[in-house]
Amino acid sequence: MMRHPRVLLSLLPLLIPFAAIFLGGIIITVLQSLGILMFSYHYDDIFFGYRELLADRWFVESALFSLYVAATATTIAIIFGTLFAYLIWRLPHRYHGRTVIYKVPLILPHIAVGFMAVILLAKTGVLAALSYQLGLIDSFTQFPDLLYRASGIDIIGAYVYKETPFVMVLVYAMLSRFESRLMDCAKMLGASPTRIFFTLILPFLMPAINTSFIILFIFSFGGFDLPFVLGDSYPGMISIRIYDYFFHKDLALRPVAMAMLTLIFLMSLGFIIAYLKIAGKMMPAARKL
Amino acid sequence: MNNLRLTFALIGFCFLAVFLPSSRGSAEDSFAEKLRQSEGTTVKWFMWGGSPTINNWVDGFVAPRVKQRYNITLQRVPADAAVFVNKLLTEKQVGKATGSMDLLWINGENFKNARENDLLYGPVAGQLPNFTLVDPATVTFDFGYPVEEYEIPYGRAQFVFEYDSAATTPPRSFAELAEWVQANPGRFTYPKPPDFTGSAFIRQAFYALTGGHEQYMNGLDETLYQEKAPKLWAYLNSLKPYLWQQGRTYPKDIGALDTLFERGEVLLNMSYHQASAQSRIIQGRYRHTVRTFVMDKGSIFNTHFTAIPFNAPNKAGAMVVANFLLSPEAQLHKNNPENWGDFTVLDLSRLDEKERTAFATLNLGEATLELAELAAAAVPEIPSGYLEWLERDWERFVLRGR
Repeated sequence: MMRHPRVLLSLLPLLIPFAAIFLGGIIITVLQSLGILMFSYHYDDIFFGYRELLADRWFVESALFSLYVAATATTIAIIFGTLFAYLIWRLPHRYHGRTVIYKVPLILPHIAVGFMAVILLAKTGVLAALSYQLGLIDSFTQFPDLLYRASGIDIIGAYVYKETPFVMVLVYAMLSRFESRLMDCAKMLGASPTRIFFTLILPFLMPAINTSFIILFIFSFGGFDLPFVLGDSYPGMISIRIYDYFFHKDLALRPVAMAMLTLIFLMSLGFIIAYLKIAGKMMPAARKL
Repeated sequence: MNNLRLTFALIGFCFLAVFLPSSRGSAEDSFAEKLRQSEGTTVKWFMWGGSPTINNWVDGFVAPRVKQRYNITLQRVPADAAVFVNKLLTEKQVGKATGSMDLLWINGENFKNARENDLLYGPVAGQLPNFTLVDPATVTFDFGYPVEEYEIPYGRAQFVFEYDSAATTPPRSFAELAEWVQANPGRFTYPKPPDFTGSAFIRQAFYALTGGHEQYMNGLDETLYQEKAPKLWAYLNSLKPYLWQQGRTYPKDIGALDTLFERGEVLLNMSYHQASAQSRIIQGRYRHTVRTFVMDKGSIFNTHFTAIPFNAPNKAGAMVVANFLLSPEAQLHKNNPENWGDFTVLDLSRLDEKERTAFATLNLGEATLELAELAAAAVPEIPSGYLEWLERDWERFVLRGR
């Protein structure tokens, strides 16, 4: 890079906002997590925020819960997204245009998906009213609890709904570059459709799958809007814990909120590195993201 | 130039003569100056924006009046108090001498946070002519934190429970509430503290279950708290299996609980605003049979305030608006449930005969309790140190203690 000062110069318009906003934000977050730049409060122990955090089992539980929700939702979305994209691709070409409808959830904001879930699935929501009218239940109290579950199925479901089309777009774009004569060849040599999918198609798609996995996983790990609308009070996603600390608690506890943000950032970084390492080992060709 | 000054002085004098009959001498002079300075300016008022009723009152009543009388353009900026106090902190930190907020609607913990970091301009209340209509003893403390005239009283709210009289008979004490909840499983819950209303609910239960509020009024006493608080946690945990969603989860804020109540998913609701049920009946959100009640052992009230940031660009304008909000005219209009229903902070004995009668004959609506009943149950807010302990330990012993 140093040998190309002109490259650096031409990147400046991008680098300056990056440095000022992104790095600046991270630096202030880290400093405040250490009790520095904390208005008129003073802390004798610079690790006050981290100590408070790690002594609190709740933080660990929230982190594990976020991990579980993000991993489950992303895995399901990847499986569905890849399968659907493959099925659409296999359709006769004249039908491809009509399948645009699958892109609808892409343009919906996350928060809208959250509200849709509440309106449809709440105990006094549309589905409950429908079941009552159809005589399936005698009173809304019999309608199953679908929302606000400790198992996180409401958040996972909403993320899957929102993320599947995203995977489909990426995978479909990749598939359209696939040399379909390879498939004809495999067929002629007697390969079953399952075999074709797993030995030919899937390895070809891995770069797209890896990219979407990392993007979606990191996003849903730290995402705020869906857990805010749906979701259980306890343990709850980690983003909600940060929000509570930042806005609802005593200002003297700000370093704890900032310590959580710092740890979330480090964890996300760790996930990316770990994933790349594993993906790289599994198939060297897919290393490039 | 002289002519211009004379005109301004005359305008100022007319305002004082007409609107501020009972103001103090020295405050009058400097306030006339404020009126002159604020002519033609804009005041940005940062306030909680979650209630359409309140927003309409500010946009439809306050803004046109201050425009017409003082030629001030009032801009309402919706924001949560915790958010603008944070914003102010950042501005203080980076040394921004001229900020963007002129007037704040604030109280409780946010006021404490703001004062501890020296974010407010003041003392200011005593500079306002209409402050003489307030009994200073009623506004000495805000959640136990000394106000010292850094806040200007604005309104008074009291905690009430709401129920549909056609659907259920409400409990009258916390002991009866426990029985009621067992008899109606899944039909009661409270917003998750630190939500403002949910937090007030547990404070009220704390008073009622541990022998009244008086013992907590003399500053923080950790031994006392440690001795008393377990009773509250035991009580709330005993309710848990019978709460909405078996107490596994709580509505995240009062808005979420309101929705559950409107849909009939829960049968009791609560509000830190004694007239909100009446306003909602008028708006058509609640059935006509909805009524309010208070528990025997008291219901918490608090005063809410306006304040001016240290770096407000238009302090004079903010003071004129705050003074208008404190005028008998605005306080009376605000007290009417058709407009808002927020109770007045004025000392009625300091008003003239006509104004007193107007307040006395105000129709508060069937869903609002009589003033006498509310006053008989009224108990003060707890010092905010206790509040923080209660919120912290609720998470520890109730939310996670399963």
